[in-house]
Amino acid sequence: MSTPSGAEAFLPLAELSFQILLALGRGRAHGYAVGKEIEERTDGRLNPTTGSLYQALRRLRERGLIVETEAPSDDDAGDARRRYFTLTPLGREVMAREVSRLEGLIAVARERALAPKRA
Amino acid sequence: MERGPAHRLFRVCLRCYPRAFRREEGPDMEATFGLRLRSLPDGRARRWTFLARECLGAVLGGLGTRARHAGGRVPFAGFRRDLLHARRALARRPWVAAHATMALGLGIALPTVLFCFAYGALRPLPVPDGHRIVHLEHANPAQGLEELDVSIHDYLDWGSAQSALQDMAAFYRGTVNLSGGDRPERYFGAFVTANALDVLEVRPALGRGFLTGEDHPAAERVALVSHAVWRSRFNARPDVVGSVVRVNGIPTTVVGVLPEGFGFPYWDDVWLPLRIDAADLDRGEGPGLEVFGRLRDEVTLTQAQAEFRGIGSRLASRWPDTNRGLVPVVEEYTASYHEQDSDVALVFLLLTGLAVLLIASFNVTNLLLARAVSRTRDLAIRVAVGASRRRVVASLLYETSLIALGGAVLGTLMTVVAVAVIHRLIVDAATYPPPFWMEFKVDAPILLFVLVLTAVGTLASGLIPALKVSRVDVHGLLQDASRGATSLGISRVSRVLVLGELTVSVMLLVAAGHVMEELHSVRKADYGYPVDEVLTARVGLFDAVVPDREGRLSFYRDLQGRLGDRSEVVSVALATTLPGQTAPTVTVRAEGASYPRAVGAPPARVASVSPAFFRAFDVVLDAGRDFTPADEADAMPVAIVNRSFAERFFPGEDPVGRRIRLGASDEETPWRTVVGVAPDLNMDGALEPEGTPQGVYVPIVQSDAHFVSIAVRGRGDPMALAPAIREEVLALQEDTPVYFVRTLRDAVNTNLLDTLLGGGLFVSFGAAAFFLAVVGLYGVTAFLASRRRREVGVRMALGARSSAVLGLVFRRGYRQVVLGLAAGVLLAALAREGMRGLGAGVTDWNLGVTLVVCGVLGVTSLAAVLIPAWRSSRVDPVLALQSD
Repeated sequence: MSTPSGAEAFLPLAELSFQILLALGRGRAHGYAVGKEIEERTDGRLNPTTGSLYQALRRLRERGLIVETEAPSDDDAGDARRRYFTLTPLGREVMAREVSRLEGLIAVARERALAPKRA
Repeated sequence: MERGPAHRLFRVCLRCYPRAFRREEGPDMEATFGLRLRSLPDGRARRWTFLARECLGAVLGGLGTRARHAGGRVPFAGFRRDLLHARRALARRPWVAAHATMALGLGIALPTVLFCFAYGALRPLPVPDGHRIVHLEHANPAQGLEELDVSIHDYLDWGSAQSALQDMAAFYRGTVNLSGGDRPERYFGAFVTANALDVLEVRPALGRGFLTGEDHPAAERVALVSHAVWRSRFNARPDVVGSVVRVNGIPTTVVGVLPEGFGFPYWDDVWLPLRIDAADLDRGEGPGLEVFGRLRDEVTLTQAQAEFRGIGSRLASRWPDTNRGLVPVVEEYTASYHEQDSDVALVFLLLTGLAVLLIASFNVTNLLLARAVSRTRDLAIRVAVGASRRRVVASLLYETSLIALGGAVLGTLMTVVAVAVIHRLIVDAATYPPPFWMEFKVDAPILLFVLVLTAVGTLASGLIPALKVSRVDVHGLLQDASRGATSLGISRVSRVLVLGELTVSVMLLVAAGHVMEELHSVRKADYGYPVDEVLTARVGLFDAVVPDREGRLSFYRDLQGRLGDRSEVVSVALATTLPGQTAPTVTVRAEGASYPRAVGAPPARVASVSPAFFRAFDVVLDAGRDFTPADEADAMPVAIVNRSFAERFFPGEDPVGRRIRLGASDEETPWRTVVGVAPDLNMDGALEPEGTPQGVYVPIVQSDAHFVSIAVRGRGDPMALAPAIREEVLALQEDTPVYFVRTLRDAVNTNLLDTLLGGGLFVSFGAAAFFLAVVGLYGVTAFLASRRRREVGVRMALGARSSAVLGLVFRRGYRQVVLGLAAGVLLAALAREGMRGLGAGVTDWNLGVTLVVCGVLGVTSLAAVLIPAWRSSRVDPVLALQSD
């Protein structure tokens, strides 16, 4: 399943999916932490409701980009309802391809002086 | 599992997701929702917004997921199409749309205005975690006493014994004169313990708060001022911090300016440290304090109440002399301000508002029903070619939603305007401004309320027509369009709805009529003493300005003399409490009488008054004499008692010449000889008497008053005397501001504001309901008449006279009016009994008011029925028969 062409089929990623995968790039995380990171990174511009966050998480899981994993040993909150998610190899692959796709687009934009110059 | 209402609501919304989704994701989603809720920054508005957003997200997301599961059919796919369809349908009949929008706008605005005030009054303190600030006071349930102050000793004992509060602070309130530089001005002030701002977690906008120790009697004098005072008196100068002003005559350094809008504890503008040393005072002495504190995070109000009850009973057994029977009362801070019985009235008003919304919705229902009939053929064709009934219902509901949306916008605009106007009225009319936490504005929670009302309005007005139409007999209808109305059974529904409208509006108007009548009678009330031609004002002499009693007494003597000498003044009196205002109570014992130990001597109200006080108010004494200048400070102590006092203390005897003593048994007060008996002058308040009407007057020079009211009568407009009072007070004592300048009528009627406001709302509700009902009645009669055009045409073609047709249409319509009037009056009577049962103050049933309301409604309805009837009698039979 993790053939290059397979990964290609997921592109381009919807923004919320991209942000979730980006958040999980740091390692496994609980849904709450994913939502919080997205909100903070985007300065509140993107602040999905619990409903849309879990719909997106479920979609990514169904497509095999992320997978549920066991809770870290330092999770002492003891809330059995919490589930942790982590990237699958396919998820990493899709992310890499999406990033290089965006880089390609940015390069073109730079050539045409449509992007801010790098400091 | 979390059990809060927010969690429950979210859990309900999650039910929109398909079962499989819910089983797998639900628990984790609830956990995340809980974490997010807990991590929210403070603020009720923020919580509401978060909750609304989360729930809406769950509902929409759930429905969407469900639809995709069901086979890729996305709901609302036809949404846009239906919406466009609905818009076109409305645009075809702009008047119907406009009328419906107006009706719903009015129906939404009235309850929202009410909600705005109810919610505004119930907002938590605008300080961090304001709902955790609690107010503490004493009650004495055995003696039926509430809202008792707390002594400094109890406050300190509470502080060392309690653990439920992070910290607690105390204050008492008073008036503060600011002078120095400009003219003297009087403000509401609070004397607070040095830690008050720390407990509230409020930082001054400028400068600093009070430092520990600044509330010691020997500390340097410092003050904080409000943002408003900083702007108005100090022109927003930043260098006000560190400057020295005179506070109640004493030089004091301003050390800080508080943030804008802050007026803790109620509406205060100047804060001074509470300079008390408990060690200097015997237990129970010193000023009465109000106490507040911040609940610890993990402690609930109930736990705190239990702890303080325990502390209270320990203190009562340790200090029986001062604390027996006293029970500490812990409440949320703002709740301590509200009176219990105003809740009943508030609920009743809200219900009334909802009744108006229902009337408006019925109106729209009727309009839509009438439209539905004219469109039945169109809809029947849609059903016939395969549109599901659900779609037909939906498309009609879309139309209603568009109308309701317009109504919501209109209603919100009306609310914004009305709230601003009413707020202005309150601020202008009230002696005391509303407490600083009450904010009457249209914000997120209010808009949420509008949203709910709009949904109610949409369903209430759209569902009946939609369901009716969807059940139409398609075949029959396509054969004969005129059967539309009959097969829908619409005329019956319409008639019932109009009957409902009329009933509710009669009920509201009868209630409004009673309120108006009551207001009118209060405005015109004859109290037995002049109120319209007397100008009153109040002055306060602080120890720092006039340090000794001699000085104060000569100030009062001189003021009365100087004012009396002015040509425009007819008479002058000074009194600690004027007629019609509530005087304080003391216990009084009559010489020779014995009082049971357990109960003690009975209370009476007491006022210190100047010589010729009764003459100034044209009051003739029942017996004895008025006070004269001969009743000097060192002359024989005298008193004048009122009728109620005479009956209570000297039943069947002549009080003149008897002796009484004011104050508790162990107090060394002089025996006073009764020299006169006066009629009752509402010493317990004219408007809403508080009980204990018996009262005693003593000469002002034989007591020691720091605050007095001045009552002046002239020849013309009483307000023209205001400059005279100011001039004479300033001439005698330049640091003394004059305040509460108003006629005695206004002074007596300050409590009228609530009644005025409630009455005004009632009247506007009744008027709106009436307007809607009449328009609705007209609409339905016109519609029913137009539906019978053919029948009328046939009758007239067969030779019926137009008067017969007129009678036919008119009788039908007017029967409803009579029924509606009867039912409305009956309901109004029932509602009054209901309110009386709930303990609300209700006046007696007024037949005149009822008749007037019925008369006005009857005549107006007559017109609403007569016009369509008349039109229908003018029908040209040829045209009528051709029309279909």
